[in-house]
Amino acid sequence: MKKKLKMIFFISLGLSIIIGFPIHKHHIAFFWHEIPCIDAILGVLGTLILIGAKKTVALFAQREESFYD
Amino acid sequence: MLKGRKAFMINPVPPCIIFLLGALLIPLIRPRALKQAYLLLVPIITFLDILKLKPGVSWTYKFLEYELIFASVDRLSLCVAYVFVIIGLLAIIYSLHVKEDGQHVVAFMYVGSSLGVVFAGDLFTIFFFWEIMAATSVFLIWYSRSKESLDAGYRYLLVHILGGCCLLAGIIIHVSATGSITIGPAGGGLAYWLMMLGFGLNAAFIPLHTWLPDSYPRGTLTGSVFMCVYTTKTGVYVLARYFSNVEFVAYMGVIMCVYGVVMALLQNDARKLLSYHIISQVGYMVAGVGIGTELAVNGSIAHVFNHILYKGLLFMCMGSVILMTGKRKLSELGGLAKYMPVTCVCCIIASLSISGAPGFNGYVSKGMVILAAVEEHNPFLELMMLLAAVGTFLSFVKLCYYTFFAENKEIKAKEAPWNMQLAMIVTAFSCVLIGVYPNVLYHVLPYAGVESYYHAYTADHVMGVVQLFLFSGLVFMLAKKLFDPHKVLILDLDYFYRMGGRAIAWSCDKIISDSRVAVQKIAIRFRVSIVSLGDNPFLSPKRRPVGMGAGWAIVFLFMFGLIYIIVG
Repeated sequence: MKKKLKMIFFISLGLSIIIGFPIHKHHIAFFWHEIPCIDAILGVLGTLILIGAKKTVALFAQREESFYD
Repeated sequence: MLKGRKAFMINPVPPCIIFLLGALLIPLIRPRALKQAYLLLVPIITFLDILKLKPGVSWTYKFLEYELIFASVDRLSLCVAYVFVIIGLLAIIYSLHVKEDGQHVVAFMYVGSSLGVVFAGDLFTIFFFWEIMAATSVFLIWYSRSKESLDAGYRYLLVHILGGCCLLAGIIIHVSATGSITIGPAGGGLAYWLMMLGFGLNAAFIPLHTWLPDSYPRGTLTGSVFMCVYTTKTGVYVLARYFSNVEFVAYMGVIMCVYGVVMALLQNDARKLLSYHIISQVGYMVAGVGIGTELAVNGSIAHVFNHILYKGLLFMCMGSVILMTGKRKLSELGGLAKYMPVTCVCCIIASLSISGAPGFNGYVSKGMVILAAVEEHNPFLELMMLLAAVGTFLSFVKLCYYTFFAENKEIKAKEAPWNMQLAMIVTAFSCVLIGVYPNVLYHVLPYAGVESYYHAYTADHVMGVVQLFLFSGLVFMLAKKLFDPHKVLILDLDYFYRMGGRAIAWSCDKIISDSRVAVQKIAIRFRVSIVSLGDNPFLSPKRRPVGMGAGWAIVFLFMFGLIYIIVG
């Protein structure tokens, strides 16, 4: 079951790139709107940025659950 | 006394009245079945009442030398009122099993006062209902009856009293300067910023937001469903009235978007995670208000509408999970999909809606706000909102996975009571309905004709969102360990408030108290020395020494002798 789900997921990834490649954005305001499959790139970059932000905040703000008690 | 301009020509009454008066009758109705019917009847009557309201209708009220506009109807107030009453009805269905009358009474008063704010036509009326909202909603926290909720309730109340004071001060300065109490775009100066502070506190502006993740997770399971809807959304609503097209508000919005998701990703408590996502989603609405174009304001209000539905649904789902398992932390949950399939499906629908997946309501409104930022040629706003969209998707993948699909052999549960399931199913259906057929929503937005210039389902928009989610999902899959929930506390900016509070308490205890003791000691010594002046210096030294009294007597005697010799 898990394997099947993974396979479907990876097929979807591939399909989204193949179908998305020729589709251009309607509203082009900035240079990145013209890059094909920019949203896929933003998805990866965004996740990496958020992981970095999450780790940084945890470094300073993580305490034991009973901290305020 | 209510005085109607057009009230004599039309049947409807100000919708807040129905809820506020309806609340007072709840304890008087017996038996329970009749009470439950009554609880459902009030929001239905209110909804029918709102359907009859037409833009332009108002109710006025003479107070001192002012003519207060108790209720005034336009497209904006109607749109927000529709969704307030719809979710009010669904939240009441969700809480039908609650036997405590008090909880229903405060919930009704909270909904009624929120409707009062929505229809208020002047600043004093807004302030009046604003304060009732704060005073009633705190009981939805206190009814949890734990020490944590009691403390959180007090903090919530203190912060809202501070916000209320700022708002009142702003109103008084504004009225004394302009003589006007009518609602409209604010001017500038001190009054402007004080009112911004008062309204921004309810809309959870950073760093005034800390009351929200502190209090909402500690409310009652049913109370949190009400709370997640009204306070922040009335904040957005009044911002739309006063602070539309203000650059500061737009930037504050996107800061809220990103701050909310980063903090949410770190949470272990399910309802705390949802609370941080309120800040993030309200950020989209605030950004839309700040951008201020027709598309942006429509997007913002559409997001208010949609967010109320999916966030209410998320709190309902997590409330059901907590009720049936007794656990609220993601690290203690897991594997509930097979025991609570209805809750699981509803939670997935709500998660897809809040993430903005095509086919669900969040997709429609989030797209409007982001497109408005693009049309304004502001790359910072667009990129920050996209980043927040990625974070939202990741958060809800995490929430659903660790609640329903992660392996946990210790946990066993069954579905929540029928009324809770019914409320969840209807709310989930509403999320899908608006997602599939957005015209339902377009027709009630403040600026008419949105469908002529905004098309939600274009190939590039759909494919963009699909790619964004699939590829952020890929990173989640590869780095799943980094998203694991841990039993830790993540400090927020309330750390500084709390430490400030502790510093004041410490200074009261140590500095002021110690100073008092020192002064008291000096005073006692002085008193003792004065009293000792009256001692008999010739008492037997066995009983007590001659001491200070004799010493002072000799000094005075010497002085007396000296003066006598000099003067004489």
